[in-house]
Amino acid sequence: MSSRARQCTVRGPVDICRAMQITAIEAAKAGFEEDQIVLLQLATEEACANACEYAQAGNDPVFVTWREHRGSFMITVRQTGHPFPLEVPQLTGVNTSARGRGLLLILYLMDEVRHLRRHPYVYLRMAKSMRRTARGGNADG
Amino acid sequence: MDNRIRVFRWQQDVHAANADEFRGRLAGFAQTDAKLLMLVLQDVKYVNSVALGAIASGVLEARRSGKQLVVAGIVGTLREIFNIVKFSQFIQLFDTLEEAEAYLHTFVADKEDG
Repeated sequence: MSSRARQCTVRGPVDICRAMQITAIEAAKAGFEEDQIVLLQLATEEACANACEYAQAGNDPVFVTWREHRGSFMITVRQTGHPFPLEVPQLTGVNTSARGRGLLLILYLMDEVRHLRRHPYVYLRMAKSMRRTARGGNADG
Repeated sequence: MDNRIRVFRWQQDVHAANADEFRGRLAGFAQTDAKLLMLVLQDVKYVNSVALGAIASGVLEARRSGKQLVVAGIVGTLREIFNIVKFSQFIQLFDTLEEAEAYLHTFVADKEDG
């Protein structure tokens, strides 16, 4: 994956599951351990679900890209329309309702999460350091 | 297992393709007439935010109806996910079924004493 990025199109739940499988494959190649891979899959699912919900009211596809960059494993979710907000209303409180945990999970599980806008797309870029992985450790020397 | 305790055992990871089924079945379970309910997730290592929402709703719905719904089999990555969303602050979580059953016995004993 280091030479070129892998990409897939997401239009609904079946595609989200496929994106999760790709995350597992690419994260394993990057040297992440099994438990870390499961949590990277969770960040992938939540980001895709949010993007599908916000992408032109769910009518436009979402594109997911995986790549390694400067010692980080990066997952980028590209959508049209408005970005979903990156603020968690009550990080210190407890959410007992049925919704509103996806973003909290993403922010907690990934080392860096940010939005980029390049009309007509919005990109959610999520990065996880590979320092603690076998390959990341080798890369760091 | 004590026959006063009703158990709902879910054995798959919960993701986009099956989260609605999980939510529906757990909602039905929370409405059963038993007072002591145990959700067992010991074979699960992954749940998404929809499943987390369903669990929170099920626990609170049960509590409103005078029931106690606890969750057992919370280890590994599942424990980490539950910790992130701070479920232990309002849901009784247990590593094992035995610990969950012991807690429910205590819960019944306290009710009978009170």
